[in-house]
Amino acid sequence: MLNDNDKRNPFRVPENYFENFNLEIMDKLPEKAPSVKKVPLWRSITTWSAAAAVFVAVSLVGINYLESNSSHPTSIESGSTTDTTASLENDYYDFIEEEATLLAYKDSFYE
Amino acid sequence: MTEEAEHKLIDRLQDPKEQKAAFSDLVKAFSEQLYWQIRKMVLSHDDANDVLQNTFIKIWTNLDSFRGDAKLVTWLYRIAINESITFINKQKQSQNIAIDDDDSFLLSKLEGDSYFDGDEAQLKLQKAILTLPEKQRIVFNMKYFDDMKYEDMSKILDTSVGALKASYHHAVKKIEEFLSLPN
Repeated sequence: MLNDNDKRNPFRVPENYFENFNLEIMDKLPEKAPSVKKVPLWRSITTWSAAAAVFVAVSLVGINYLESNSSHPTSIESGSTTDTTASLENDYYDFIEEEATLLAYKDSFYE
Repeated sequence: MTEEAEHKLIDRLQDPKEQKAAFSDLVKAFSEQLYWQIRKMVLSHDDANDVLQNTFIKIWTNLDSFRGDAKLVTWLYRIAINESITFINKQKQSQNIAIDDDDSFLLSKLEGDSYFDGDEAQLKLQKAILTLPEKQRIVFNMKYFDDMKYEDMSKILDTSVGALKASYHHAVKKIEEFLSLPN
């Protein structure tokens, strides 16, 4: 029957095995790539949104300035400024959508 | 390792500047423990050495995924056990041996190991252990040789304490039956 005598360890290791192993394993560790700082998705979108908003605002100001100084002034009623603004807004929304997709958001979710 | 020491080590492991030095401390603290867990599963020293290396490399590459929701030692043991099972299965596959055919494959490992120092009674006990199913073998070794608490075993093996106690009880019965057989 099982008794305490049977609990002796029948296995052995080479001399200094663990001391040598502890040193050798450190040389076998694969290099780690520098970790990419994980940015929460909301922060990425906010940053890009802010940049895009500045871009849109500057563009609008620029366009308005150019149009107000042009030799063929375009009236608001003609709709061309409105069209330009709408087009820029659409571009802005497309840009945000694209960036969010490209961010590979699944890996970037803040935990 | 005390809980406090474990927390300090975990903090250092997650600090990129201290990670490598902390990992060296981790190896020193746990290599022997993990080795014996592995050795009892794969039986041969050479195989245990390979698996132990694989285990620490896996631990190193997955350090960032350790969330601290389990004890560090529990996580380390799980990796060691999984690496042992993977190793055994790969060897069997390469030798066209059925995955569930443990007896003859591991028996040949036991008998072929030049670092087995046991006497006849110890050899017979090891042969008896090999007649157990894989998980029962793990449970038996953890309880009988390491006197591991069922609660700790439960976390490592993700099995209820009740099931582990029943498994151990059956293992002891089966082994005693084997030992009572004439040589």
